[in-house]
Amino acid sequence: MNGLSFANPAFLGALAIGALPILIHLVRKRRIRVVPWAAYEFLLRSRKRNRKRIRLEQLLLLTLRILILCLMALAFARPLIRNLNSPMMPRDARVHAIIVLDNSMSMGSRRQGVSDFDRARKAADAILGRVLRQGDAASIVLASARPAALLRDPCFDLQTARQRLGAARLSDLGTDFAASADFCASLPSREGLRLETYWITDSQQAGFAGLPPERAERVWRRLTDRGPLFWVSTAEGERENLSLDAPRFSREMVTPGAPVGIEALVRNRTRQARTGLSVALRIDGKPVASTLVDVPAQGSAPARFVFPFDRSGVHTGSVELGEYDGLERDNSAWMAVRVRDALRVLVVNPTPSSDPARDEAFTRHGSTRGWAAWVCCRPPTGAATPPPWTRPRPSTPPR
Amino acid sequence: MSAEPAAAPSRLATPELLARIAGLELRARAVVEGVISGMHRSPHRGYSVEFAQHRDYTPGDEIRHIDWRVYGRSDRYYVKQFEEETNLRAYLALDASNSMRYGSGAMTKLEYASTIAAALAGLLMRQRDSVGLALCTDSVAGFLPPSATAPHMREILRRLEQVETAPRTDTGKTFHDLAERIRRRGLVIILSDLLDDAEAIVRGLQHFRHNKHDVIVFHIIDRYELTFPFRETVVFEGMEEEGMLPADPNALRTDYLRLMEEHITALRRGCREMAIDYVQMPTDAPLDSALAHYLADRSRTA
Repeated sequence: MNGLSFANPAFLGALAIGALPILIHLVRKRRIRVVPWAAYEFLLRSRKRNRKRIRLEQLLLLTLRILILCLMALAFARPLIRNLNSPMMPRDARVHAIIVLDNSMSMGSRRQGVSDFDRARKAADAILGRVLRQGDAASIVLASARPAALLRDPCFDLQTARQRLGAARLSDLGTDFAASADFCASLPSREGLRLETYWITDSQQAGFAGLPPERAERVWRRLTDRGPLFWVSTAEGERENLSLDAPRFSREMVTPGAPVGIEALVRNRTRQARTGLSVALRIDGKPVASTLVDVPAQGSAPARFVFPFDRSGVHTGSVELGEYDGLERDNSAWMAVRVRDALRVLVVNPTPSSDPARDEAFTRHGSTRGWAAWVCCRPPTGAATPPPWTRPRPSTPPR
Repeated sequence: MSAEPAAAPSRLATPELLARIAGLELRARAVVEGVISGMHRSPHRGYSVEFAQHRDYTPGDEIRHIDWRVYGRSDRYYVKQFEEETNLRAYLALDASNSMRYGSGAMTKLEYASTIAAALAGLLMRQRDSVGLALCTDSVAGFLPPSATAPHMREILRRLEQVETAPRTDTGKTFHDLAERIRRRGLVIILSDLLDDAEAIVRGLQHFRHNKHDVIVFHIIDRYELTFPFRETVVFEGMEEEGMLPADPNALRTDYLRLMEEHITALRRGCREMAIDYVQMPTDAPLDSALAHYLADRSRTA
C-alpha cells in the first residue's frame, strides 16, 4: 500500500467521466455538418501550414478537459496522503492515529438532512476502515469545551474502534480546540508507532478563541511535534445560525395572577440582518404568546413576553424561534419556574421598640394565606455572640 | 460614348429580390431597368473599332463622322469609313466551374454571374453592340460568336439558363484558349470567382491585353468566402472533386483570410498593371451597381 487513500472512494468511479470529452468528440464527429466549399484550396493550404499547431492545440485541449474532470472526481473522493517520506520514520512504520471527533453543539447542524456530526463520524469510520492498516492503532477523542476520550489507550483492534464510534454523542458544549489539542498531546502513545492526528470538525471560529495566541501556538506545536496533523473539515461555506439565550424573568418571586416579564436574547450569527423573526413562548407545552423581532447582522435583540401564571406550582416552558436554520438545538431555550402561593417576608428592624406604635416592624402581613414572622431585632453587638435575628421567635401579631 | 452610370443603383436589383424572379430574362431586365433609369443621356450611338478608309462626304452622312484633320490638310470633306459598320464586339466569358455553384445567400455565384451576364448582354444589344458568350471550364465550352440580333440574344439567355458546370477548372488555360479564339479586337467581360492560381489567371488576362482587347473582370465572390464566419467544426467538401476536409474553422480562420487577401491583392495588382478593370462583386451586393460600373467604363473609353 502506498501513502494515498480516499475518504470517499465511491467517487473514484466518477473518474470514468474523464472519458466524456472523447465520447463527445466521437458523437459530434458523427453528427458533424458537411459544408460544400468553393475556396477549398485556401483551406487546404491553411490546414497544411497549421497542421502541427492545430494537432498540438487539440491534444492539449482534450488532455486539459479530461484532466479537469478527473481532478474533480478525485477531489470528491477526498484523497488522504500520508507523509511516508518523513525522515523520522521508515516508510512501513506502523501508525497510532488519534481521531479527534468534534462533538460540540454546532456539529448538530444539518445540511440535506445529515448533521455534521454524522458526517464527521462517517469520515472517522473511513479513516479507521480504509486509511489505517493491520497493525496500526487508534485512539478516539471527543473534542468540545470539555474534551474526553472515547478510546484513550491505543487500540489495535480497529473493528472495535469503529464500533466505539457508534457510542459517540453530541454534547451541548461549545468548542475549545486548544483544550482538545492539549488533551490529545497528553494521550499515551506506544513506542515504535508514528503518531498521526486526524481532526474532524466543522472548524468553528469560536473553537480557536479559547486561549491567547501564544499559548495556543505552544499547545498546537506540542501536538504537531509528535506527528502530522490532518484537518478534516465537514463545513461547507458559511453557515446560517440563529440562536436563543436562556430566558430571564423580570423578577425571581413569581405568584399566581401577577404578570411576569420573560425575556430571551435572539442572536443572529449571520451577515444579514433579519427582520420580523417570529419568536413564540410556550408554557407547559402550550403556545401562549408570540412576538416579532428584528435582529441586526452579527448582533442580538431581545424577545420580550409578559405572562401571568394562573396557578401555583412548578411550570416548564420554552422560547422558540419560528424559523428553522439547520442547527435545531439552539433554536429553543428552556426554562422552569416555581410559582408560589404567597411570599414569605421577613421584616427586620435594627432599632426595635417595645411600643408597637413606635416600631415600624410591627406591621400586619397582607396575605391571609401566608405567614409572617414578627421580629424585633437588635443590630449585632459582637462577633462572638450570634446575632439575635438568627433565632427568630414566633410572636403573636398585635391586635 | 456619353453614357453616364446610374447615380444610385436601384434597390430593386438586390440579390434577395432578384432571386424571387423566376426567369433569367426578367431578372436581367429588372437589372437593366435599374441602370437605365439612372442615365442622363442615351448611349445609343455608333461605335467602331476598325477604321477601313475615307470616302467623300455626301449629304446625309453624319457630320460627326467627318475627319476634320483631313479637312484641315486638304480643305475637302472626307468621312471615315469603318471595316464593319457594327458597333462594339463584346465577349462575355462566364466561369462554369462547380465552384460557381456555391452560395450562402439568396443567389449562388453562378446565378449572380449569369444575371449580370444577361443584363450586360441586354444592355449591349440595346446599343446595337454585338455580344458573344463563352462558358469557361477547363477549356472554352459553348463558344457563341458575337452578334446583335434578337434570336442571338435569346440563344445567349437560353445558354445562360442552362449552364452545366464542370467539376474541374483551369482558369488561366481557358483564358489563353479564349484569347486565341477571339480574333478581332473587342471588349472581354470576365465573370468568374477566380478561384485558381493567381499567377496563371494574370498570365491569361495578359494574353487578352496582348491581343489589344479591353478587359473587365467581375470577380464574383460569396460573402462567406470573404469572411469565413463558421464557428463549429464542420467537414468542408471541395466543390471541384478535391475531397473532404474536417476542420475547426476557428483554427484556420486567420490563415485562410490571409491567403484569400493575398490572392485578391495579387489579382488586383495584376489587373492594375495591365490596365484591366477589376471589380469585386460580392453576391450580396445589388447587381445594378455592376452594370453601372460597366457603363462608367464605357463612357471613359468612348
